[in-house]
Amino acid sequence: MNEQHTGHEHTGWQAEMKVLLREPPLLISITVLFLLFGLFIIYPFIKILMVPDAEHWMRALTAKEFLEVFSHTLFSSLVATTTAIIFGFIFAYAVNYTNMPGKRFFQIVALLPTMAPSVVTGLAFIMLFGRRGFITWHVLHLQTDLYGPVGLWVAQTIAFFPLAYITISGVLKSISPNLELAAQNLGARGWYLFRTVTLRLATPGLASAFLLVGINSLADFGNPMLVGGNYHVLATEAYTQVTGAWDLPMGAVLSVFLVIPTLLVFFVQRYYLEKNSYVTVTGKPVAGLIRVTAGPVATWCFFAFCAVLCAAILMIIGVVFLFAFTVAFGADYTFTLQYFREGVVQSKVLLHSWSASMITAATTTILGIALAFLTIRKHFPGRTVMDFLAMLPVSLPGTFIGLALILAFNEAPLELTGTMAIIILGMTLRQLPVGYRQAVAGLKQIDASMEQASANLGANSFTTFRSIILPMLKNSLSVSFVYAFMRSMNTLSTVIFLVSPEWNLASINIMSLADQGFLPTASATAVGMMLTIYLTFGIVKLILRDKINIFDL
Amino acid sequence: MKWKALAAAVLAGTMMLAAGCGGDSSSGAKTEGGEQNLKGKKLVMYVSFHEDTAKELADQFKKKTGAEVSFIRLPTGEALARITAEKDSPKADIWLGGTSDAHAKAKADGLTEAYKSPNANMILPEYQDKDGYWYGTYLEVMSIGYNENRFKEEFEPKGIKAPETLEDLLKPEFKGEIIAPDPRKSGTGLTFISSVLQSMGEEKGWEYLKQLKGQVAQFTPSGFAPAQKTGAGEYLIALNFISDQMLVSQKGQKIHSTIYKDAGWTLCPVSIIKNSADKEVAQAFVDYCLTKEAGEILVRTTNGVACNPDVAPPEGQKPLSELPLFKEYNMEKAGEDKQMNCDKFFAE
Repeated sequence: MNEQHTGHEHTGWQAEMKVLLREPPLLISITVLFLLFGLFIIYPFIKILMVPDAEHWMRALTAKEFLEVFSHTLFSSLVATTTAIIFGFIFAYAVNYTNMPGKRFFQIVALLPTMAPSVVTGLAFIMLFGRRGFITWHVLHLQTDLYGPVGLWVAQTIAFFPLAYITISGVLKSISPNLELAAQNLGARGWYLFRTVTLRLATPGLASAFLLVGINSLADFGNPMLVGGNYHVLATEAYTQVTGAWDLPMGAVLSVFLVIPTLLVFFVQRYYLEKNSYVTVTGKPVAGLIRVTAGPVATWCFFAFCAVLCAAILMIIGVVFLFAFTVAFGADYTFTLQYFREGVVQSKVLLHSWSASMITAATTTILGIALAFLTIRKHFPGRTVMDFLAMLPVSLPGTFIGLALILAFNEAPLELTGTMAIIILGMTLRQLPVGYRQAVAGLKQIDASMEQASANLGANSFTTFRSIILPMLKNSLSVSFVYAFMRSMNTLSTVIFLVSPEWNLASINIMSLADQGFLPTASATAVGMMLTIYLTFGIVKLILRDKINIFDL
Repeated sequence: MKWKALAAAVLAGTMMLAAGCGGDSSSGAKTEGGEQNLKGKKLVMYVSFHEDTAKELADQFKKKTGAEVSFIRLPTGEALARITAEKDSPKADIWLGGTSDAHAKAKADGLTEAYKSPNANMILPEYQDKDGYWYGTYLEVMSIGYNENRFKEEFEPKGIKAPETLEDLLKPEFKGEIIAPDPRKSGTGLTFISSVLQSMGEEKGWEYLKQLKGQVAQFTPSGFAPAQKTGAGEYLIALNFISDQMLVSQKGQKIHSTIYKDAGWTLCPVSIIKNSADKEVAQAFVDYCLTKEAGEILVRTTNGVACNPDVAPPEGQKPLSELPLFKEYNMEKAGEDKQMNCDKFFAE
């Protein structure tokens, strides 16, 4: 738990520049990254910022309805993030610190909410727990109404707890058991041990997860759209300003408002969390140490918690399956493959989604780790700017990214609209922050002394990166790959404006089908999507074996 | 600025050239069936109505002319936003479907271009743009729909009459059981409030809408959602287009629909996007949409009423001339007053 400086000494940007010049490959990669950021983040951003004029800004700042929307957004994402983090933490702790039965099963189920498109899960959620919900109305005879802040809270908690879980799980995994064992030897037990050692060590990771989930939920689109009812948030309002009120400038202004919380988050991160680093991977041997596990009572409590949560998830997914494989859900439960044939077998969209998502996942993982290595371990002018730019896209509503991209890349020389490239670009921008954040969190846990040792032995930055950093970041890399792939498969708002007749995607098709009342085909496509994701992970796992963690996050 | 002027000049030149070629036998070659031969040509469409309708129209058009048709379905607002963003280098030739106020907006913003179709006389003059920027293909009509099962089980035994008129919607027993589209976000919602204001007159209209607003449980961003949620029994009454209600009904969740007196309506038009890649095939497609044959496909797949009076109405529905529509409905005025009326509607 040593607080220390990493990398080279600070001596102003001139000194940093000198160091850079000594390593031309490093200089080149930094320059290339800045150019890419300039072209694909800053340029589209400026392009869309030029759309609104002063009058739009004034109206957005003074109109009561927009202020209300702004406060709704902050409130709903704050409560949902809090519960998602609590759920995610309990889940991650249960998976990493107990010997509860069915662990593997829980781990797989917990990923489902991220894998299934929110359009169908949202509808299934309403059908189970809504006004005429199967559980709430038919079984329990309750008068519930999910439309509004409460339903949104529940839906977002379920939707975002997997992200919290995998991020926190990564943090818990990297806590070296020897500290806990030492505490135990000194007499610490149970709650006291948890509170004084484990929780303390996990705090920076928790805060980081909180911020990540927080900005994701700020920009969330699918859930507020489906269960928000008359409760509007910025992401949906920005979208409907564009598509409903035909007011592109106002949509852009509202989207920019979402950047404000992200800026806050960014500074909190920079100036508070970075001061409290807890390095636990020091290169000293820890192998063979067995992690302290929770007692039997605690284990069974954890088991009950995970079981209830997973049951709720499975019910929601179950309804999607029922929709997909019965003639008419609610009226005729005869098994049929007709919808599966229409939505999956005879459709090319899943293949498109798969290709685009695979490329995106690979790109964001590699780019994320490269960026994290540069911003955490290297000192160069513009480091903070790079850090900020890598995080910026997460806060923007997907539709804003999509619109900015078509405004920026519709004409020669960079005419990308109507191609697969622009879809991948949009997805990559959207997922990059998660990949980057995961890599940062992973890197921060690793003591820089090992890299310094490598450097002392004559390795340059790239060799150190490849043979020291990469192997130690297996879990972070796995998380960002798995998560980016799943999210890209069912991202909706980002690609709404990017798909074309030639390159349509499964997620868009699902929304379009549901929108036209073809729920069974939409559900069948969603099932096909989940199967594709699991199959892909299975195959990747078979190929890479121990080089990647997929279901054991 | 200079660039735009140049582009306009090139465009004008191309147009004159195209017009000159009109009489040329090679470009306007007819096949045996009297159709144009457009083999090898490509047509790209943004479609803002049901996918299966568009697919059938595209297939038939391909069969007749040989042109390859590809399309993607985009809700009205998304299509408009996309066409706006792509205006300097459009990626589609045709915008098919959506609401006529949106097509009127596209015309006003210079996103679409005029075309005098030789088939224009096949549809009623009031259902096409006077300058030829857009042509109506079929009509969507507002309706009050209620969930039959829920009404029979929960309301009928209490001696409550089924909701069939606008006034019925104000009854206290229906409070919190009505779901309607949001006029700020959905063309259906806007059609409703604008037609009420125009048919009842400002004063009575506002009085009615204020009372109705208190009765409505949820305003949805999508025009279709009310039918779907009413079908599922979440709400008793849906206030949206009859074709959406009939679609849900046909899938087994029975909704009883009534076109009320002075019902609002909108058109689903077709427009040619300005600077589209291939004008000839786009124009041929517009011609095709106005024919009786296309009208029959539209009616069969949408339950809407065709703008071509030769096409029979959907089963169980009266012909256009007998529907209790608010004939004087002024869509352009509805579009102009949109912001003002929506603000007033949602103000406390």
